[in-house]
Amino acid sequence: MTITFERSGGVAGITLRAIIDVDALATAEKDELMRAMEKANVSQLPRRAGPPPVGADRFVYVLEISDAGRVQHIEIGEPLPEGLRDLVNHLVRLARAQRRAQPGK
Amino acid sequence: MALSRGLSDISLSKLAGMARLPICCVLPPRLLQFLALRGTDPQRKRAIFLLDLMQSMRLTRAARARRRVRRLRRISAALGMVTKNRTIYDAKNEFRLPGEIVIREGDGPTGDREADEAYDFLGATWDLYHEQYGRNSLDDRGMTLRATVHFGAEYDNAFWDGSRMVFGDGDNELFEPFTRSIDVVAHELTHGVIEHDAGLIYFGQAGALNESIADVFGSLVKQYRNNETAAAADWLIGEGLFVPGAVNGVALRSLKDPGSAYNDPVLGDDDQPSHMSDYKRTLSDNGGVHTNSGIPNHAFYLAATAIGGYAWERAGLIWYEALRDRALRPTSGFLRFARLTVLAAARLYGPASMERDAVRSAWNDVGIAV
Repeated sequence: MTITFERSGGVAGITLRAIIDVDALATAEKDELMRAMEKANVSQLPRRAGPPPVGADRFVYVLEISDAGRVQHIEIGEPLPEGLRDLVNHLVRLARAQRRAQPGK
Repeated sequence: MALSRGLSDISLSKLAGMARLPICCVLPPRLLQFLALRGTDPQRKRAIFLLDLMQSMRLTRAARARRRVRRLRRISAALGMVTKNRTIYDAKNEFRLPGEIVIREGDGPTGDREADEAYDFLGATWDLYHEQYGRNSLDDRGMTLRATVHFGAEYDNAFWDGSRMVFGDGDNELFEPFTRSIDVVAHELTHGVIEHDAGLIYFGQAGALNESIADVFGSLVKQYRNNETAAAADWLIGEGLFVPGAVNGVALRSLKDPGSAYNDPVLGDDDQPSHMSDYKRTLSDNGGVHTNSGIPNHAFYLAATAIGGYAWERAGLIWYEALRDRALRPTSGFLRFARLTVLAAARLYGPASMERDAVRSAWNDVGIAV
């Protein structure tokens, strides 16, 4: 399973992107991510989750989950629905770690 | 041309008669403008005279209305009817709003640096809008300014949620708490002003214009607080937000030189354009609202530095008048706003003024012909 993650928007306007190879993650990391995905009920999520945009400078999250030939595309706006917060925050952490490990990419 | 043939039917005596009647303003200005450009010599002379007259009547009306508003403001301020009202909340690093109240108007510093910064910078923003533009808070009706600090965990952002400003504490890696920068605080408040006035939608070019206006007044609040002229100001947004030594960059954005604020192996490059030829088409970030804002940002910088002096006095007032113009619609883009700034400059300083020329050239220089 691969997750392409993008967080754009925010007052800084700096986009955070990562391609996460879930199968290559350390076991503990992978287990935590799978738990968050189950809690979020990812496979049942609509293409656009979260409330319609209100205000300004909020983050916009885009997830593209590829698994066994199937691709699911999800866009999530803030405030994050309670059930999605763990998943999104986990992906942000993984994306930041990747950004640190692979500068310039 | 059919239109020019039709126009030649309007007799000069009829036009001259109209000039003496209040009804002359009913004559479509576009018709007069057409005559002024394409008519016969006597028609052009007459049309220019009428356009001048209409313009001066509009100017007088606008000036009288502004004087009346300023007088009312002075009276209400003297009576203590117009006062700042700030409330700061602490989310205690949870993702829940609004949090617990930690400062009310008039309270002294709490010792919580982020809460005190938010209170102070909210005040500086209120001051610029009130003292320079006669505005009474975000809605111009004295609403309480509400801000929540310490929002979320490792939350590297500040936003306007439609009724309050919300500030995260940064990510412990690259970003400091988002209350550090006075212009970022003023930027968030200005989103509130924009929502109450033009209501620019937060997508595509209207969204980039929304972002730019927030940056412009964000920078003006900083310049006003520091008493800096346009020539002396740094024109940066978000200076002090990067953790020292962690990022190769000075700020989030530069109005003076869009695209130059940071260039970092981890964070990436500042990719703001400063000219329409580099306008970025993207679906990320609500259609590039934080990217393409560089274009109108730079136009403001060019206008303000060409006009000279304190940027909030003339350039800022021109931008503020354009923002409040009813002709600015929620879906308006750069060109509509540019035209309104040129009209506002002519209204405020005269159709042949240096200010109007400076505004017009500034837009032309970023690729927006007005």
